[in-house]
Amino acid sequence: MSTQTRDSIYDQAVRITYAYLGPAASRFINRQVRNHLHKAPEDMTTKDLVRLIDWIRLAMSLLTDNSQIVEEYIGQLEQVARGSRIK
Amino acid sequence: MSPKVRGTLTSKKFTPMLWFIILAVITVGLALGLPPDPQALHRLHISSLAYHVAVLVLLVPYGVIWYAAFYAFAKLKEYSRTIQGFDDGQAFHSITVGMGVLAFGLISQAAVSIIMGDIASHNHGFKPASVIIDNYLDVLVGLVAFMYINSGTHLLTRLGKNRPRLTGLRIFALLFISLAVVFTRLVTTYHARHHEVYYLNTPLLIATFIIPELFAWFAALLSAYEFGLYAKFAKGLLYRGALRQFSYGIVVAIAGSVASQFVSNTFAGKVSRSLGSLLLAEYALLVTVAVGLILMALGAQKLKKIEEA
Repeated sequence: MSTQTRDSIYDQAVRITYAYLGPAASRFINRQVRNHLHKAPEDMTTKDLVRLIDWIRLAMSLLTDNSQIVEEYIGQLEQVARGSRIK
Repeated sequence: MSPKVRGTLTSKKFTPMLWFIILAVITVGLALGLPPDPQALHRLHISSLAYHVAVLVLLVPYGVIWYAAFYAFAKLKEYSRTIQGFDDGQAFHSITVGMGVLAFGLISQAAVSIIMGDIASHNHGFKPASVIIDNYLDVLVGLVAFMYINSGTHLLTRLGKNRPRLTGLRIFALLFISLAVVFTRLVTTYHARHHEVYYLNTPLLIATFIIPELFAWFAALLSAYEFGLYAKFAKGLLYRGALRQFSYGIVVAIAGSVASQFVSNTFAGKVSRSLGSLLLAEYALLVTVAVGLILMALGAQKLKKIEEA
C-alpha cells in the first residue's frame, strides 16, 4: 500500500472509526459515502467529509446514547476535515 | 441437499420463525394427538387426559428452548447477511449455520422421538431401535452444530489475532478431561446396571456414543472459550459492547447445553430416587440455555444495527 493511499481522507476516517466500530468501520464509512454522497468511498475528499459529518453524527447517535463518545468521535473527524492529520 | 430444498429452507417466505411455528405445531400435535402407551398409563395410574396434560406441561420448557434457538438463528442470519463477503462475515456465517442445525435439530429430534416412541409402544420389538436412533440423533445434532460453530469462532480468533494462551489452554484441558472422565464413568456404570437405557454393548457405547458426545462438547466449550477471547480483545468500543452481549450468550448457552446433556445422560430419567428434583434441575438448565440463546439473539441484533447505521 502506498503512503498516499494510507494517508487518504478515506483511510483516516476509517482509522478513526475503527476505534469505535472495529471491523465494521470500513463498512460504516463506505455506507455513509455511498448513501449520502453517491460516490466511491476511495474518492472521498476533505469537502466530502465536511458534508458527511452530520450524517455520521446522526448514525452514531442511533448506535449509542452516550453523547460524549459521539462528540469525541466527531471531534476527531472534524480535525481531519480541517486538514490536521490524525495518527 | 438439493438446490430446490435449499432454496425453500433459505427463502424469504420461509423465515426461521415461520419454520419454528410449523415444526412446533407438528411436534406438539404429535405429542398430544398420538394415543398414550396403555402400559405407561397403567404404570403411572393416570387417565389418558391426565397423561396428555402432563405431556403438555413437560413440553413447555422444550417449547421455550426451541423458540429461543430459532430466534437466535433468525437474528444471527439477519446479521451475517449484512456482513456477507467480508472475513468476519464468513466466520459468522459458519456460526449461523451451526445455530440453524441446532434449532432445526432440536425440534426435529423431539418429533422423531415422539413418533418412534409411539411405534415402540405398539411394537415392543422396536424399542431398542427407537432408543438407539434417539440417542444417536442427539449426538449427531450436537456434533454437526458445534463443529460449524467452532469453525466460525476459530476463524474469528485468527482474524483478531488472539490465539488462546498456553495457561488458558492448560486450564481448559484439565477441566475438559475431568468432565470427560466423570461422564464416561457415570455412563458406563449406569449402562452396566441398566442395559435398556442405551441398548448397546460397552465397546459400541464408548465408540459410537460417548466419544462423539465428548467431541461435540469439546467443540462447544472451545467455541465458547474462543468467542469469549475474541470479544474480550475486539477493537471498537461500540462493536465490542455488542459483541460482549453475544459472547455472554454463547458462553451461557453452551455451558447450559453441555450441563443439560450431562445431567440427562447420567442422572435424569434414569434414577427413580428424587426424579422430580432431577427433572427440575434439567429444566432449570434448559431455561439457562434459552436465556443464553436470547442473549445471543440480542447481541446479534445490536451488531446488525451497527451494520445498518
